Amino acid sequence: MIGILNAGLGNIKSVQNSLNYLSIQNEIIENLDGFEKKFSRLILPGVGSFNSAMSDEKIGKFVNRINDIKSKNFPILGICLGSQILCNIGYEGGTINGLGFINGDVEKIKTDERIPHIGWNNINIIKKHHIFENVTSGFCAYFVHSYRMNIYSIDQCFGTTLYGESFPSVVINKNVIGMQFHPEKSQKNGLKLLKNFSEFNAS
Amino acid sequence: MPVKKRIIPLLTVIDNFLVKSINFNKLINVGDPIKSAKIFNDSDADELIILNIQRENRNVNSFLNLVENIAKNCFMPLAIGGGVNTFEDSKNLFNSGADRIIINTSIFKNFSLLDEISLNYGKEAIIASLDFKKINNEYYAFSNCGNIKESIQIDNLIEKIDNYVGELFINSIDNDGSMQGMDINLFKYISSITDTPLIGCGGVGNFNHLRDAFLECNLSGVACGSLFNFGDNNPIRAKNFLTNYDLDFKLINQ
Repeated sequence: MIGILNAGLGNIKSVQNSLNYLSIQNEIIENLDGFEKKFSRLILPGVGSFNSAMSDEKIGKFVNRINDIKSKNFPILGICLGSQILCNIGYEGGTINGLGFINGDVEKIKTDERIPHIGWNNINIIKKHHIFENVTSGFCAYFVHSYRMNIYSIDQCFGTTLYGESFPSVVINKNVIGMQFHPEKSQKNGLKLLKNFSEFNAS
Repeated sequence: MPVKKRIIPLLTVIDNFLVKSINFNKLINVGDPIKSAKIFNDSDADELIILNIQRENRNVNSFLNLVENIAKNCFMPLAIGGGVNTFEDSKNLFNSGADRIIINTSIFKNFSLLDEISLNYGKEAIIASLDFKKINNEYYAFSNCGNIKESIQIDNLIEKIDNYVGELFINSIDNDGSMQGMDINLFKYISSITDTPLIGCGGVGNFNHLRDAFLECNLSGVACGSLFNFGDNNPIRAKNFLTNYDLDFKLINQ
């Protein structure tokens, strides 16, 4: 059973629709009390800004529980802003501490292209992982963002995307996975990634 | 490398019926929006724009059911609008499965709504729909389904909204439903005064019109109603044609 955390960060319905379509058991949850008893995996969806996401009204109040769940080795998937807040620091709306599961920061995309980066772009798989099973390098996914992750530990970067500059679009640290794009909106390839997440266990 | 160009089917809806307008008037019933959305989902369309263009007593709540039913089986981005007057309206649409919200009339009547939505969902989740009509060789913005002429100048309008939205959805009222080609000059001009991504709309009747718009203007996407509502054209065939012109699209199964 996958728990989709509704921390007030926007579009959770799409994530649920895609899991339902895949017949993957899931539930939208408003808090993380007793999470471990009922759920085996956690999804952190999110749109909006880094600073508002980490505020006490949103993710802020769950930080301790998310830390517990992470340290107990439950697979966690962050989507879009949900993946950015996995990093140590974000520079959107100040200098804001993130969850610190991924060794990196989040800064504005530096490009002459139009911002935000909206639409379909390729993901180059740079390291093998269970999450990429049945998708091929160069697959397309849907992006909507103005900020991007910047990873300090190259071993945590599993996929990259080019938009003016190359940036990490799939980051993984053991049981924690972040995707800058929206798998729930990325048609067949996105659905495959979600299916893979539902079967993923960090060893 | 730029992001891929998008071809975006546009579904305009009144009372759960799919309709197509000509010059924002003269509405023709063209089918069932749920079936239509399903077909576009099955053919891996890049995105869908769904607009509630009901003229009288329009409200978002009566539209939510339809959005939910469409979203249940659509695993592509959904941009949805029509009568979004309050923050609650936008919230309800997001909760029903919208990925981005399209705002038109509130840009002129209730600008703080944009601020409120962007604060919560990010400006990336807002599309400004701007409807232009040429009068005596000058472009004027219109609100309320093309019924109210606004006085603000085009440059001032773009400058005012640029920081509050993630994309501009530019409609030519004159070309809407004509199938005679797009208003290239309008898109070129707006493209020259903003760095925000642009979706062009109005007048596509064949694939050459799409090619001309993409090659001559710096558009991120083109939205088409008539092209896909009438005849046997679909986004897959359009992209197959357009890839001959050095334009980069997401191809099926890619």
